[in-house]
Amino acid sequence: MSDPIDDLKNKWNKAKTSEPDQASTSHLIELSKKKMRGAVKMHIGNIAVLTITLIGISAFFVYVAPLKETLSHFGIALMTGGLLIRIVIECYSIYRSSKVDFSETAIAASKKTMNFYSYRKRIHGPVTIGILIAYTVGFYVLTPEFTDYLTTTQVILMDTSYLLAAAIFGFSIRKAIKDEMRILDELKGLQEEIVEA
Amino acid sequence: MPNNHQLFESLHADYYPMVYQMCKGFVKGDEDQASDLTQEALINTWRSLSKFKGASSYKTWIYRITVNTCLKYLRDNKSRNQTTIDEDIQIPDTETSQNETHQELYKAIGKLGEVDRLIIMMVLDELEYEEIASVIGISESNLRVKIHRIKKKLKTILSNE
Repeated sequence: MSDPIDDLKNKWNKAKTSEPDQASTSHLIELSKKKMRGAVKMHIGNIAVLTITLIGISAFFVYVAPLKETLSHFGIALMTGGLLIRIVIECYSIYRSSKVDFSETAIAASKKTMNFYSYRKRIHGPVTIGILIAYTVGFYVLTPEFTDYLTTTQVILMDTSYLLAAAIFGFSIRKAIKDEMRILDELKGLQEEIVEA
Repeated sequence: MPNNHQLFESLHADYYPMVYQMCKGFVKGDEDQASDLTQEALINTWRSLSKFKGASSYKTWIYRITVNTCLKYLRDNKSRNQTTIDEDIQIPDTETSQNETHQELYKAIGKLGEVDRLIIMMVLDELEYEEIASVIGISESNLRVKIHRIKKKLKTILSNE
């Protein structure tokens, strides 16, 4: 009786004869550039949205509503400071993601990927939640001075609509954390599968 | 960088079938997914070309890239569609008995865990144990134990079919 592993080896060698359609190298290089451009555009897009928001808010408080009270200045600092920190983090994330090396051993690559996702989990978790809280506190401490210039209805509308936006943002943070935790669990399982004898 | 282009051209010509076969085995014989995965592995090869230091052969190096690409593909795929790779591949009725033989092969390999699947494919490809160990990043003795266990598992799978 033949060894089933040898049979499998024969089948494997026979399967090699099936001719796959080969993509040309120039097509692959072009595709690589296209993917790279897409990734860069996405990262730049995120940073651009955050930067425009930061500039918009800053310009609003400088030119449209130059608030005078110290409490309001504190609020503006919390809002713009939070955004600024988020922009710096976004830039650092691009640097971290570029460090993934496919030519490392499977165990080293999975460890690095795990470190990256642990970092992302921290960013999407405590750091982003902290920024959101700081932004929210900053936003609401502006309310007393806004009541001097706006009607009560306008202030209520402004404060409640912010709650809605914050809830949507909070929901997206929760989803991002769940995704990262799932990937981390998978990576942990993968590491265990690699090292177990 | 004309040198990198030439090198990539030659690596592509030499190792495309090897990468394709490995990817096809990983996705249980699904040709469309295998083509996508092969493309991804070769793109990663192109991008990593400047990092090649000559510490291993090109073959081992490309195996590493292919293994890491397969594992990443699985992760990305799970987030998009939980069942894509787990589904049994249906070969069209019009295809030959040769394809049925291939399907048996991929079905048997497909019943293994992802890492075991990648290791056994390198064994079937007759890669030296030392090289497989350097692709995965474990000791040779650990690999030997693993391969023994995988072969045992495969024999059980094959005897049950």
